Amino acid sequence: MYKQLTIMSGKGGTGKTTLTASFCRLAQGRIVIVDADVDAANLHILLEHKIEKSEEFIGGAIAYIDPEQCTGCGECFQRCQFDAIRALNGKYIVSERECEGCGVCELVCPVDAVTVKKESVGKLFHSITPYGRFFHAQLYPGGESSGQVVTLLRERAEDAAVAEHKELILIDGPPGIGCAAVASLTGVTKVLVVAEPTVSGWHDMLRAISLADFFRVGICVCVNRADINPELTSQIEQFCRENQYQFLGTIPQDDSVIKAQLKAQSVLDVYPDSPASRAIENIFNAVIQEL
Amino acid sequence: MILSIASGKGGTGKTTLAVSLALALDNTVLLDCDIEEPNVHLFVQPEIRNEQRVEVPAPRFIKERCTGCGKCVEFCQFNALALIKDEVLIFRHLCHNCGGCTIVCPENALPAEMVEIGRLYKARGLGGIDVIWGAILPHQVRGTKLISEVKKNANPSAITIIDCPPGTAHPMVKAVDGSDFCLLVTEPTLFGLNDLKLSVETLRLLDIPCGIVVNRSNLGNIELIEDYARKENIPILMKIPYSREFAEAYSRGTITLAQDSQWVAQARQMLQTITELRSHPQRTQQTQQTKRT
Ligand code: SF4
Ligand code: SF4
Ligand code: SF4
Ligand code: SF4
Repeated sequence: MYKQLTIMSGKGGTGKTTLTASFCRLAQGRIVIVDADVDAANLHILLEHKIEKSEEFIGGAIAYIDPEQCTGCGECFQRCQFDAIRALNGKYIVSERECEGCGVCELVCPVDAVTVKKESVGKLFHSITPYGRFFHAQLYPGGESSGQVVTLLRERAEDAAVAEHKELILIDGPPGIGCAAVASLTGVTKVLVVAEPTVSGWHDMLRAISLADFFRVGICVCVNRADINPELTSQIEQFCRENQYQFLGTIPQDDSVIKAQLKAQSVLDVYPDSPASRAIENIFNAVIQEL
Repeated sequence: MILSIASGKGGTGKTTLAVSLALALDNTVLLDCDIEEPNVHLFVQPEIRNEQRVEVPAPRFIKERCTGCGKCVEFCQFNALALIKDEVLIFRHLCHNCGGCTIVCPENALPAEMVEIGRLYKARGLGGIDVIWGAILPHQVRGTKLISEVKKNANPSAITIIDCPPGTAHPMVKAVDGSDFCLLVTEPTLFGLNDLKLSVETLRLLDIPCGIVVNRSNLGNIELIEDYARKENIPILMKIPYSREFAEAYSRGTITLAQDSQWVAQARQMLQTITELRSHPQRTQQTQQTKRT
Protein backbone atom coordinates (compact mmCIF):
# COMPACT_ATOMS: atom_id res chain seq x y z
CA MET A 1 0.00 0.00 0.00
CA TYR A 2 1.26 3.46 -0.88
CA LYS A 3 1.68 6.36 1.52
CA GLN A 4 0.84 9.99 0.81
CA LEU A 5 2.78 13.11 1.73
CA THR A 6 1.41 16.62 1.17
CA ILE A 7 3.77 19.57 1.22
CA MET A 8 1.97 22.69 2.40
CA SER A 9 2.80 26.17 3.54
CA GLY A 10 -0.25 28.28 4.31
CA LYS A 11 0.83 30.63 1.53
CA GLY A 12 2.90 30.55 -1.64
CA GLY A 13 6.48 31.63 -2.05
CA THR A 14 7.94 29.67 0.84
CA GLY A 15 9.89 27.30 -1.39
CA LYS A 16 7.33 24.51 -1.28
CA THR A 17 7.58 23.71 -4.99
CA THR A 18 11.37 23.72 -4.97
CA LEU A 19 11.27 21.31 -2.07
CA THR A 20 8.75 19.05 -3.81
CA ALA A 21 10.81 18.97 -7.01
CA SER A 22 13.92 18.08 -5.04
CA PHE A 23 12.05 15.32 -3.21
CA CYS A 24 10.98 13.93 -6.58
CA ARG A 25 14.59 13.48 -7.50
CA LEU A 26 15.48 11.92 -4.16
CA ALA A 27 12.59 9.46 -4.38
CA GLN A 28 13.11 8.70 -8.07
CA GLY A 29 11.27 5.63 -9.31
CA ARG A 30 9.31 5.09 -6.12
CA ILE A 31 6.72 7.85 -6.45
CA VAL A 32 3.70 9.29 -8.16
CA ILE A 33 3.59 13.10 -8.19
CA VAL A 34 0.61 15.46 -7.89
CA ASP A 35 0.62 19.23 -8.31
CA ALA A 36 -2.35 20.21 -6.16
CA ASP A 37 -1.48 23.90 -6.29
CA VAL A 38 -3.86 24.12 -9.22
CA ASP A 39 -4.38 27.89 -9.05
CA ALA A 40 -0.69 28.66 -9.45
CA ALA A 41 0.70 25.42 -10.82
CA ASN A 42 4.48 25.65 -11.09
CA LEU A 43 5.84 22.19 -10.41
CA HIS A 44 5.73 21.31 -14.12
CA ILE A 45 8.32 24.04 -14.72
CA LEU A 46 10.88 22.24 -12.55
CA LEU A 47 10.06 18.69 -13.65
CA GLU A 48 11.10 17.54 -17.08
CA HIS A 49 7.90 15.89 -18.27
CA LYS A 50 6.01 14.63 -21.25
CA ILE A 51 2.24 14.97 -21.36
CA GLU A 52 0.80 11.60 -22.36
CA LYS A 53 -2.85 12.41 -22.05
CA SER A 54 -5.09 15.32 -21.19
CA GLU A 55 -8.72 15.37 -20.15
CA GLU A 56 -11.24 18.19 -19.91
CA PHE A 57 -12.45 18.70 -16.40
CA ILE A 58 -16.18 19.25 -16.24
CA GLY A 59 -16.71 21.06 -13.01
CA GLY A 60 -18.89 23.91 -11.95
CA ALA A 61 -22.17 24.67 -13.63
CA ILE A 62 -23.68 27.93 -14.82
CA ALA A 63 -27.31 28.95 -15.02
CA TYR A 64 -28.90 30.45 -18.09
CA ILE A 65 -32.26 32.24 -18.21
CA ASP A 66 -34.15 32.06 -21.47
CA PRO A 67 -35.39 35.62 -22.06
CA GLU A 68 -38.24 34.32 -24.22
CA GLN A 69 -39.70 32.39 -21.31
CA CYS A 70 -38.80 34.61 -18.35
CA THR A 71 -41.85 36.50 -17.04
CA GLY A 72 -39.78 38.70 -14.76
CA CYS A 73 -41.37 37.45 -11.55
CA GLY A 74 -38.08 37.87 -9.68
CA GLU A 75 -38.34 34.64 -7.70
CA CYS A 76 -34.85 33.51 -8.77
CA PHE A 77 -33.41 36.92 -7.92
CA GLN A 78 -34.86 36.68 -4.39
CA ARG A 79 -33.50 33.21 -3.79
CA CYS A 80 -30.01 33.33 -5.29
CA GLN A 81 -27.56 33.43 -2.37
CA PHE A 82 -24.68 34.57 -4.56
CA ASP A 83 -26.05 37.83 -5.97
CA ALA A 84 -25.65 36.29 -9.41
CA ILE A 85 -29.00 37.37 -10.83
CA ARG A 86 -29.53 40.89 -12.15
CA ALA A 87 -32.60 42.72 -13.34
CA LEU A 88 -32.49 43.84 -16.97
CA ASN A 89 -35.38 45.46 -18.86
CA GLY A 90 -38.08 43.88 -16.76
CA LYS A 91 -36.51 40.44 -16.99
CA TYR A 92 -33.62 38.78 -15.20
CA ILE A 93 -30.22 37.60 -16.35
CA VAL A 94 -27.43 35.54 -14.79
CA SER A 95 -24.02 37.06 -14.21
CA GLU A 96 -21.69 34.20 -15.10
CA ARG A 97 -18.93 35.61 -12.95
CA GLU A 98 -20.89 35.23 -9.73
CA CYS A 99 -22.97 32.14 -10.54
CA GLU A 100 -21.93 29.07 -8.58
CA GLY A 101 -24.25 26.71 -10.41
CA CYS A 102 -26.21 25.69 -7.32
CA GLY A 103 -29.44 25.19 -9.28
CA VAL A 104 -31.72 27.09 -6.89
CA CYS A 105 -32.97 29.43 -9.63
CA GLU A 106 -33.93 26.46 -11.78
CA LEU A 107 -35.69 24.95 -8.78
CA VAL A 108 -37.80 28.01 -7.98
CA CYS A 109 -38.61 29.30 -11.47
CA PRO A 110 -42.36 28.83 -11.98
CA VAL A 111 -42.12 28.73 -15.79
CA ASP A 112 -38.99 26.61 -16.34
CA ALA A 113 -37.08 29.47 -17.91
CA VAL A 114 -33.77 28.41 -16.35
CA THR A 115 -31.32 25.73 -17.37
CA VAL A 116 -28.15 24.91 -15.47
CA LYS A 117 -25.37 23.48 -17.56
CA LYS A 118 -22.12 21.91 -16.51
CA GLU A 119 -19.11 23.39 -18.15
CA SER A 120 -15.45 22.65 -18.65
CA VAL A 121 -13.35 24.49 -16.07
CA GLY A 122 -9.90 23.31 -17.02
CA LYS A 123 -7.63 20.52 -18.18
CA LEU A 124 -6.09 17.62 -16.33
CA PHE A 125 -2.75 16.29 -17.54
CA HIS A 126 -1.30 12.81 -17.21
CA SER A 127 2.45 13.19 -17.61
CA ILE A 128 5.51 11.09 -17.30
CA THR A 129 8.76 12.31 -15.69
CA PRO A 130 12.11 10.59 -15.06
CA TYR A 131 10.98 10.24 -11.43
CA GLY A 132 7.52 8.80 -11.88
CA ARG A 133 4.06 9.62 -13.17
CA PHE A 134 2.91 13.18 -12.70
CA PHE A 135 -0.64 14.51 -12.53
CA HIS A 136 -1.26 18.22 -12.91
CA ALA A 137 -3.91 20.63 -14.12
CA GLN A 138 -4.54 23.98 -15.63
CA LEU A 139 -7.72 25.82 -14.69
CA TYR A 140 -9.42 28.53 -16.66
CA PRO A 141 -9.59 31.95 -14.93
CA GLY A 142 -12.29 32.54 -12.36
CA GLY A 143 -12.81 28.85 -11.66
CA GLU A 144 -14.73 27.70 -8.62
CA SER A 145 -13.71 24.11 -8.59
CA SER A 146 -10.13 23.92 -7.36
CA GLY A 147 -11.11 21.48 -4.62
CA GLN A 148 -12.81 19.10 -7.03
CA VAL A 149 -9.86 19.19 -9.40
CA VAL A 150 -7.48 18.35 -6.59
CA THR A 151 -9.67 15.41 -5.58
CA LEU A 152 -9.69 14.14 -9.13
CA LEU A 153 -5.91 14.54 -9.53
CA ARG A 154 -5.43 12.55 -6.35
CA GLU A 155 -7.74 9.79 -7.56
CA ARG A 156 -5.76 9.49 -10.78
CA ALA A 157 -2.53 9.36 -8.80
CA GLU A 158 -3.91 6.69 -6.47
CA ASP A 159 -4.88 4.53 -9.43
CA ALA A 160 -1.39 4.91 -10.87
CA ALA A 161 0.25 4.14 -7.52
CA VAL A 162 -1.76 0.93 -7.19
CA ALA A 163 -1.19 -0.15 -10.80
CA GLU A 164 2.56 0.41 -10.66
CA HIS A 165 3.15 -0.58 -7.03
CA LYS A 166 4.63 2.76 -6.01
CA GLU A 167 5.45 3.51 -2.39
CA LEU A 168 4.57 7.15 -2.17
CA ILE A 169 2.32 9.83 -3.61
CA LEU A 170 3.99 13.21 -3.29
CA ILE A 171 1.55 16.13 -3.33
CA ASP A 172 2.57 19.76 -3.84
CA GLY A 173 -0.22 21.45 -1.88
CA PRO A 174 -2.00 24.75 -2.52
CA PRO A 175 -1.81 27.83 -0.32
CA GLY A 176 -4.64 28.90 1.93
CA ILE A 177 -7.13 27.06 4.08
CA GLY A 178 -10.03 26.70 1.62
CA CYS A 179 -11.46 23.90 -0.53
CA ALA A 180 -8.27 23.13 -2.42
CA ALA A 181 -6.20 22.92 0.75
CA VAL A 182 -8.78 20.65 2.36
CA ALA A 183 -8.92 18.42 -0.72
CA SER A 184 -5.14 18.06 -0.78
CA LEU A 185 -4.76 16.89 2.80
CA THR A 186 -7.74 14.72 3.66
CA GLY A 187 -6.63 11.14 4.19
CA VAL A 188 -2.90 11.65 3.59
CA THR A 189 -0.28 9.93 5.73
CA LYS A 190 1.57 13.10 6.72
CA VAL A 191 1.69 16.80 5.97
CA LEU A 192 5.00 18.61 5.74
CA VAL A 193 4.53 22.31 6.47
CA VAL A 194 7.20 24.54 4.97
CA ALA A 195 7.36 27.61 7.19
CA GLU A 196 9.14 30.90 6.77
CA PRO A 197 10.58 32.66 9.82
CA THR A 198 8.66 35.92 9.36
CA VAL A 199 5.79 37.35 11.36
CA SER A 200 3.37 36.68 8.53
CA GLY A 201 4.96 33.28 7.81
CA TRP A 202 4.38 32.34 11.45
CA HIS A 203 0.65 33.08 11.12
CA ASP A 204 0.46 31.25 7.80
CA MET A 205 2.08 28.23 9.41
CA LEU A 206 -0.35 28.27 12.35
CA ARG A 207 -3.28 28.35 9.93
CA ALA A 208 -1.90 25.43 7.90
CA ILE A 209 -1.30 23.44 11.09
CA SER A 210 -4.77 24.11 12.48
CA LEU A 211 -6.29 22.91 9.21
CA ALA A 212 -4.22 19.70 9.22
CA ASP A 213 -5.08 19.18 12.89
CA PHE A 214 -8.76 19.57 12.12
CA PHE A 215 -8.53 16.71 9.64
CA ARG A 216 -6.33 14.73 12.06
CA VAL A 217 -3.35 14.44 9.76
CA GLY A 218 0.11 14.02 11.30
CA ILE A 219 2.25 17.15 10.95
CA CYS A 220 5.94 17.69 10.25
CA VAL A 221 7.49 21.14 9.97
CA CYS A 222 10.62 22.54 8.36
CA VAL A 223 11.78 26.14 8.04
CA ASN A 224 13.02 27.64 4.79
CA ARG A 225 15.34 30.67 4.68
CA ALA A 226 15.90 30.02 8.36
CA ASP A 227 18.77 32.50 8.72
CA ILE A 228 16.58 35.50 7.82
CA ASN A 229 15.35 35.45 11.40
CA PRO A 230 17.12 32.95 13.69
CA GLU A 231 15.04 33.91 16.76
CA LEU A 232 11.76 33.21 15.02
CA THR A 233 13.22 29.98 13.63
CA SER A 234 13.95 28.75 17.13
CA GLN A 235 10.52 29.91 18.24
CA ILE A 236 9.00 27.70 15.53
CA GLU A 237 11.20 24.79 16.57
CA GLN A 238 10.19 25.20 20.20
CA PHE A 239 6.53 25.52 19.29
CA CYS A 240 6.77 22.21 17.43
CA ARG A 241 8.45 20.48 20.33
CA GLU A 242 5.84 21.72 22.80
CA ASN A 243 2.95 20.65 20.60
CA GLN A 244 4.42 17.36 19.45
CA TYR A 245 4.78 18.26 15.81
CA GLN A 246 7.90 16.76 14.24
CA PHE A 247 10.44 19.47 13.52
CA LEU A 248 12.56 18.17 10.67
CA GLY A 249 15.14 20.88 10.17
CA THR A 250 15.96 24.11 8.42
CA ILE A 251 17.03 25.25 4.95
CA PRO A 252 19.28 28.30 4.63
CA GLN A 253 18.71 31.20 2.25
CA ASP A 254 20.75 30.14 -0.80
CA ASP A 255 21.06 31.89 -4.17
CA SER A 256 21.57 28.57 -5.94
CA VAL A 257 17.83 27.89 -5.53
CA ILE A 258 16.90 30.77 -7.85
CA LYS A 259 19.79 30.04 -10.20
CA ALA A 260 18.59 26.47 -10.62
CA GLN A 261 14.99 27.58 -11.02
CA LEU A 262 16.00 29.87 -13.90
CA LYS A 263 17.33 26.76 -15.61
CA ALA A 264 13.95 25.12 -14.99
CA GLN A 265 15.46 22.62 -12.60
CA SER A 266 15.43 21.98 -8.89
CA VAL A 267 18.41 23.06 -6.82
CA LEU A 268 19.28 19.42 -6.25
CA ASP A 269 19.57 18.81 -9.99
CA VAL A 270 22.02 21.62 -10.62
CA TYR A 271 23.82 22.28 -7.34
CA PRO A 272 23.72 19.04 -5.37
CA ASP A 273 26.46 20.26 -3.01
CA SER A 274 24.95 23.65 -2.20
CA PRO A 275 23.87 24.32 1.40
CA ALA A 276 20.19 24.30 0.40
CA SER A 277 20.50 20.93 -1.37
CA ARG A 278 22.18 19.29 1.58
CA ALA A 279 19.57 20.64 3.95
CA ILE A 280 16.77 19.42 1.69
CA GLU A 281 18.32 15.96 1.56
CA ASN A 282 18.41 15.78 5.36
CA ILE A 283 14.78 16.84 5.59
CA PHE A 284 13.83 14.27 2.97
CA ASN A 285 15.53 11.49 4.92
CA ALA A 286 13.82 12.63 8.09
CA VAL A 287 10.37 12.81 6.54
CA ILE A 288 10.71 9.32 5.02
CA GLN A 289 11.39 8.03 8.55
CA GLU A 290 8.17 9.65 9.72
CA LEU A 291 5.92 8.06 7.12
CA MET B 1 -9.98 55.12 -7.46
CA ILE B 2 -9.77 51.45 -6.67
CA LEU B 3 -6.26 50.14 -7.08
CA SER B 4 -5.95 46.41 -6.58
CA ILE B 5 -2.72 44.53 -5.96
CA ALA B 6 -2.62 40.96 -7.18
CA SER B 7 -0.19 38.21 -8.03
CA GLY B 8 -0.38 34.72 -9.43
CA LYS B 9 0.96 33.19 -6.27
CA GLY B 10 1.57 34.24 -2.70
CA GLY B 11 4.90 35.33 -1.35
CA THR B 12 5.76 37.74 -4.15
CA GLY B 13 5.46 40.87 -2.02
CA LYS B 14 1.82 41.76 -2.64
CA THR B 15 1.21 42.68 0.98
CA THR B 16 4.45 44.63 1.19
CA LEU B 17 3.41 46.74 -1.79
CA ALA B 18 -0.16 47.23 -0.58
CA VAL B 19 0.93 48.40 2.86
CA SER B 20 3.74 50.58 1.52
CA LEU B 21 1.51 52.31 -1.02
CA ALA B 22 -1.18 52.90 1.59
CA LEU B 23 1.43 54.61 3.77
CA ALA B 24 3.21 56.51 1.00
CA LEU B 25 0.21 57.96 -0.85
CA ASP B 26 -2.28 60.49 0.50
CA ASN B 27 -5.89 59.74 1.34
CA THR B 28 -5.80 55.95 1.22
CA VAL B 29 -7.97 53.14 2.51
CA LEU B 30 -6.47 49.67 2.75
CA LEU B 31 -8.63 46.57 2.21
CA ASP B 32 -7.22 43.09 2.71
CA CYS B 33 -9.28 40.65 0.62
CA ASP B 34 -6.77 37.82 1.02
CA ILE B 35 -9.15 36.31 3.53
CA GLU B 36 -7.54 32.89 3.73
CA GLU B 37 -4.29 34.45 4.83
CA PRO B 38 -4.93 38.05 5.86
CA ASN B 39 -1.55 39.50 6.73
CA VAL B 40 -1.87 43.22 6.10
CA HIS B 41 -2.91 43.91 9.69
CA LEU B 42 0.30 42.37 10.98
CA PHE B 43 2.24 45.29 9.55
CA VAL B 44 0.07 48.32 10.36
CA GLN B 45 -0.33 48.14 14.15
CA PRO B 46 -4.10 48.27 13.87
CA GLU B 47 -6.35 49.62 16.56
CA ILE B 48 -9.51 47.60 16.00
CA ARG B 49 -12.65 49.70 16.17
CA ASN B 50 -15.20 47.22 15.00
CA GLU B 51 -15.36 43.44 14.74
CA GLN B 52 -18.30 41.81 13.03
CA ARG B 53 -19.42 38.24 12.49
CA VAL B 54 -20.22 37.48 8.87
CA GLU B 55 -22.93 34.86 8.59
CA VAL B 56 -24.69 32.84 5.92
CA PRO B 57 -27.75 30.61 6.15
CA ALA B 58 -26.93 26.91 6.53
CA PRO B 59 -29.24 23.91 6.73
CA ARG B 60 -29.82 22.17 10.07
CA PHE B 61 -31.22 18.64 10.00
CA ILE B 62 -34.29 17.77 12.07
CA LYS B 63 -34.48 14.00 12.17
CA GLU B 64 -38.05 13.74 13.50
CA ARG B 65 -39.45 15.44 10.39
CA CYS B 66 -37.45 13.54 7.76
CA THR B 67 -39.18 10.81 5.76
CA GLY B 68 -36.01 9.75 3.97
CA CYS B 69 -37.30 10.70 0.52
CA GLY B 70 -33.81 11.70 -0.66
CA LYS B 71 -34.89 14.81 -2.58
CA CYS B 72 -32.36 17.03 -0.79
CA VAL B 73 -29.46 14.69 -1.60
CA GLU B 74 -30.51 14.52 -5.21
CA PHE B 75 -30.69 18.30 -5.45
CA CYS B 76 -27.40 19.31 -3.82
CA GLN B 77 -24.95 20.21 -6.59
CA PHE B 78 -21.99 20.10 -4.25
CA ASN B 79 -22.38 16.58 -2.83
CA ALA B 80 -22.68 18.08 0.62
CA LEU B 81 -25.53 15.79 1.68
CA ALA B 82 -25.79 12.03 2.12
CA LEU B 83 -28.69 9.87 3.23
CA ILE B 84 -27.43 7.14 5.50
CA LYS B 85 -30.14 4.83 6.78
CA ASP B 86 -32.84 7.33 7.77
CA GLU B 87 -30.56 10.22 8.53
CA VAL B 88 -29.27 13.07 6.36
CA LEU B 89 -25.61 13.92 6.93
CA ILE B 90 -24.45 17.43 6.10
CA PHE B 91 -20.79 17.78 5.12
CA ARG B 92 -20.23 21.35 6.25
CA HIS B 93 -16.95 21.81 4.38
CA LEU B 94 -18.66 21.02 1.07
CA CYS B 95 -21.85 23.04 1.63
CA HIS B 96 -22.06 26.28 -0.37
CA ASN B 97 -25.06 27.53 1.61
CA CYS B 98 -27.18 27.88 -1.49
CA GLY B 99 -30.40 27.20 0.42
CA GLY B 100 -31.63 24.69 -2.16
CA CYS B 101 -32.14 21.75 0.22
CA THR B 102 -34.18 23.94 2.55
CA ILE B 103 -36.50 24.78 -0.34
CA VAL B 104 -36.65 21.30 -1.84
CA CYS B 105 -37.44 19.37 1.35
CA PRO B 106 -41.19 18.69 1.45
CA GLU B 107 -41.15 18.13 5.24
CA ASN B 108 -39.25 21.26 6.25
CA ALA B 109 -36.64 19.00 7.81
CA LEU B 110 -33.71 21.17 6.72
CA PRO B 111 -34.52 24.67 7.97
CA ALA B 112 -31.87 27.33 7.51
CA GLU B 113 -30.05 28.92 10.41
CA MET B 114 -27.32 31.51 10.35
CA VAL B 115 -23.75 30.26 10.81
CA GLU B 116 -20.55 32.24 11.01
CA ILE B 117 -18.12 31.99 8.10
CA GLY B 118 -15.62 34.53 9.31
CA ARG B 119 -15.00 37.95 10.79
CA LEU B 120 -14.79 41.43 9.39
CA TYR B 121 -12.43 43.85 11.11
CA LYS B 122 -12.30 47.61 10.80
CA ALA B 123 -9.32 49.38 12.26
CA ARG B 124 -7.25 52.51 12.25
CA GLY B 125 -3.64 51.73 11.47
CA LEU B 126 -0.22 53.37 11.16
CA GLY B 127 -0.39 56.90 9.79
CA GLY B 128 -4.11 57.04 10.62
CA ILE B 129 -5.18 54.96 7.61
CA ASP B 130 -8.38 52.95 7.65
CA VAL B 131 -7.61 49.25 7.38
CA ILE B 132 -10.35 46.70 6.79
CA TRP B 133 -9.82 42.99 6.53
CA GLY B 134 -11.69 39.72 6.63
CA ALA B 135 -10.56 36.46 8.15
CA ILE B 136 -12.35 33.32 7.02
CA LEU B 137 -12.75 30.32 9.31
CA PRO B 138 -10.82 27.24 8.17
CA HIS B 139 -12.41 24.88 5.61
CA GLN B 140 -15.12 27.39 4.70
CA VAL B 141 -16.15 27.57 1.07
CA ARG B 142 -17.97 30.90 1.16
CA GLY B 143 -14.91 33.09 0.96
CA THR B 144 -16.37 35.20 -1.81
CA LYS B 145 -19.18 36.34 0.50
CA LEU B 146 -16.64 37.65 2.98
CA ILE B 147 -14.67 39.30 0.18
CA SER B 148 -17.80 41.22 -0.87
CA GLU B 149 -18.27 42.36 2.72
CA VAL B 150 -14.70 43.69 2.85
CA LYS B 151 -15.14 45.41 -0.52
CA LYS B 152 -18.22 47.28 0.66
CA ASN B 153 -15.76 49.48 2.55
CA ALA B 154 -14.16 50.87 -0.60
CA ASN B 155 -14.18 54.64 -0.47
CA PRO B 156 -14.86 56.31 -3.83
CA SER B 157 -13.38 59.64 -2.76
CA ALA B 158 -10.11 58.08 -1.60
CA ILE B 159 -7.56 55.74 -3.11
CA THR B 160 -8.80 52.32 -2.09
CA ILE B 161 -5.98 49.80 -2.14
CA ILE B 162 -7.05 46.16 -2.27
CA ASP B 163 -4.72 43.31 -1.39
CA CYS B 164 -6.20 40.43 -3.43
CA PRO B 165 -6.02 36.69 -2.82
CA PRO B 166 -3.34 34.89 -4.87
CA GLY B 167 -4.12 32.87 -7.98
CA THR B 168 -6.69 33.43 -10.70
CA ALA B 169 -9.62 31.47 -9.29
CA HIS B 170 -12.96 32.78 -8.12
CA PRO B 171 -11.75 34.60 -4.95
CA MET B 172 -9.16 36.60 -6.89
CA VAL B 173 -11.71 37.50 -9.56
CA LYS B 174 -14.19 38.56 -6.89
CA ALA B 175 -11.59 40.76 -5.20
CA VAL B 176 -10.23 42.41 -8.34
CA ASP B 177 -13.58 42.89 -10.10
CA GLY B 178 -14.56 46.54 -10.37
CA SER B 179 -11.02 47.87 -9.89
CA ASP B 180 -9.89 50.84 -11.94
CA PHE B 181 -6.38 49.50 -12.21
CA CYS B 182 -4.50 46.43 -11.08
CA LEU B 183 -0.85 46.18 -10.12
CA LEU B 184 0.54 42.71 -10.72
CA VAL B 185 3.43 41.89 -8.43
CA THR B 186 5.86 39.33 -9.76
CA GLU B 187 9.42 38.07 -9.46
CA PRO B 188 11.96 37.72 -12.26
CA THR B 189 11.85 33.93 -12.17
CA LEU B 190 10.18 31.25 -14.28
CA PHE B 191 7.53 30.79 -11.59
CA GLY B 192 6.94 34.51 -11.52
CA LEU B 193 6.58 34.72 -15.29
CA ASN B 194 4.23 31.74 -15.47
CA ASP B 195 1.96 33.15 -12.76
CA LEU B 196 2.09 36.63 -14.30
CA LYS B 197 0.85 35.33 -17.65
CA LEU B 198 -2.16 33.68 -16.00
CA SER B 199 -2.99 36.87 -14.07
CA VAL B 200 -2.78 39.01 -17.20
CA GLU B 201 -5.13 36.66 -19.05
CA THR B 202 -7.62 36.91 -16.21
CA LEU B 203 -7.50 40.70 -16.05
CA ARG B 204 -8.05 40.91 -19.79
CA LEU B 205 -11.18 38.83 -19.47
CA LEU B 206 -12.34 41.28 -16.82
CA ASP B 207 -11.31 44.34 -18.85
CA ILE B 208 -9.15 45.77 -16.09
CA PRO B 209 -6.01 47.63 -17.15
CA CYS B 210 -2.83 46.55 -15.42
CA GLY B 211 0.82 47.31 -14.82
CA ILE B 212 3.66 45.21 -13.48
CA VAL B 213 5.71 45.63 -10.34
CA VAL B 214 8.81 43.44 -10.23
CA ASN B 215 9.82 42.55 -6.70
CA ARG B 216 13.29 41.22 -5.84
CA SER B 217 14.14 42.59 -9.26
CA ASN B 218 17.85 42.00 -8.81
CA LEU B 219 17.47 38.28 -8.06
CA GLY B 220 16.83 36.07 -11.04
CA ASN B 221 16.61 37.30 -14.60
CA ILE B 222 14.77 40.57 -15.16
CA GLU B 223 14.74 40.07 -18.95
CA LEU B 224 12.20 37.30 -18.54
CA ILE B 225 9.67 39.85 -17.35
CA GLU B 226 10.85 42.71 -19.56
CA ASP B 227 10.55 40.67 -22.74
CA TYR B 228 7.09 39.49 -21.83
CA ALA B 229 5.93 42.99 -20.84
CA ARG B 230 7.19 44.44 -24.12
CA LYS B 231 5.53 41.74 -26.18
CA GLU B 232 2.22 42.18 -24.39
CA ASN B 233 2.48 45.95 -24.20
CA ILE B 234 2.09 46.12 -20.44
CA PRO B 235 4.03 48.80 -18.57
CA ILE B 236 6.53 47.82 -15.89
CA LEU B 237 5.76 50.51 -13.34
CA MET B 238 8.23 49.72 -10.61
CA LYS B 239 11.17 47.54 -9.70
CA ILE B 240 11.91 46.79 -6.07
CA PRO B 241 15.34 45.26 -5.52
CA TYR B 242 15.94 42.64 -2.84
CA SER B 243 17.68 43.84 0.25
CA ARG B 244 18.68 41.55 3.07
CA GLU B 245 18.12 44.37 5.52
CA PHE B 246 14.57 44.84 4.29
CA ALA B 247 13.90 41.09 4.41
CA GLU B 248 15.08 40.93 8.02
CA ALA B 249 12.92 43.89 9.04
CA TYR B 250 9.96 42.27 7.26
CA SER B 251 10.55 39.03 9.13
CA ARG B 252 10.10 40.99 12.38
CA GLY B 253 6.85 42.54 11.18
CA THR B 254 8.08 45.89 9.89
CA ILE B 255 7.76 47.10 6.33
CA THR B 256 10.32 49.84 5.84
CA LEU B 257 9.75 50.70 2.19
CA ALA B 258 7.57 53.74 2.92
CA GLN B 259 10.27 55.18 5.21
CA ASP B 260 12.53 55.60 2.21
CA SER B 261 11.83 59.05 0.75
CA GLN B 262 13.17 58.01 -2.64
CA TRP B 263 10.75 55.14 -2.79
CA VAL B 264 7.86 57.36 -1.70
CA ALA B 265 8.68 59.70 -4.60
CA GLN B 266 8.66 56.68 -6.92
CA ALA B 267 5.30 55.57 -5.58
CA ARG B 268 3.80 59.02 -6.18
CA GLN B 269 5.22 59.02 -9.68
CA MET B 270 3.69 55.62 -10.28
CA LEU B 271 0.28 56.86 -9.16
CA GLN B 272 0.66 59.72 -11.62
CA THR B 273 1.46 57.27 -14.41
CA ILE B 274 -1.52 55.11 -13.52
CA THR B 275 -3.83 58.13 -13.61
CA GLU B 276 -2.48 59.04 -17.04
CA LEU B 277 -2.80 55.50 -18.33
CA ARG B 278 -6.43 55.54 -17.27
CA SER B 279 -7.24 58.87 -18.87
CA HIS B 280 -5.65 57.89 -22.20
CA PRO B 281 -8.00 55.26 -23.51
CA GLN B 282 -5.78 54.58 -26.53
CA ARG B 283 -3.00 53.37 -24.36
CA THR B 284 -5.32 51.30 -22.29
CA GLN B 285 -6.79 49.96 -25.45
CA GLN B 286 -3.37 49.02 -26.65
CA THR B 287 -2.74 46.99 -23.56
CA GLN B 288 -6.00 45.22 -24.21
CA GLN B 289 -5.47 44.62 -27.88
CA THR B 290 -4.82 40.94 -27.55
CA LYS B 291 -7.89 40.47 -25.41
CA ARG B 292 -9.13 36.91 -25.64
CA THR B 293 -12.71 35.88 -25.80
S1 SF4 C 1 -27.42 28.60 -10.25
FE1 SF4 C 1 -27.40 29.33 -8.12
S2 SF4 C 1 -25.77 30.85 -8.13
FE2 SF4 C 1 -26.27 30.51 -10.27
S3 SF4 C 1 -27.78 32.07 -10.69
FE3 SF4 C 1 -28.91 30.24 -10.12
S4 SF4 C 1 -29.29 30.50 -7.93
FE4 SF4 C 1 -27.68 31.94 -8.46
S1 SF4 D 1 -37.94 32.80 -11.63
FE1 SF4 D 1 -38.03 32.33 -13.81
S2 SF4 D 1 -39.63 33.66 -14.60
FE2 SF4 D 1 -39.10 34.43 -12.58
S3 SF4 D 1 -37.59 36.01 -13.00
FE3 SF4 D 1 -36.46 34.14 -12.62
S4 SF4 D 1 -36.19 33.22 -14.64
FE4 SF4 D 1 -37.72 34.79 -14.86
S1 SF4 E 1 -27.43 24.51 1.28
FE1 SF4 E 1 -27.04 23.96 -0.85
S2 SF4 E 1 -24.93 23.26 -0.82
FE2 SF4 E 1 -25.60 23.26 1.30
S3 SF4 E 1 -26.33 21.19 1.61
FE3 SF4 E 1 -28.10 22.41 1.02
S4 SF4 E 1 -28.24 22.11 -1.19
FE4 SF4 E 1 -26.20 21.45 -0.59
S1 SF4 F 1 -35.74 16.13 1.45
FE1 SF4 F 1 -36.33 16.39 3.59
S2 SF4 F 1 -37.55 14.59 4.02
FE2 SF4 F 1 -36.48 14.14 2.14
S3 SF4 F 1 -34.60 13.12 2.81
FE3 SF4 F 1 -34.10 15.26 2.67
S4 SF4 F 1 -34.46 16.03 4.73
FE4 SF4 F 1 -35.48 14.06 4.63
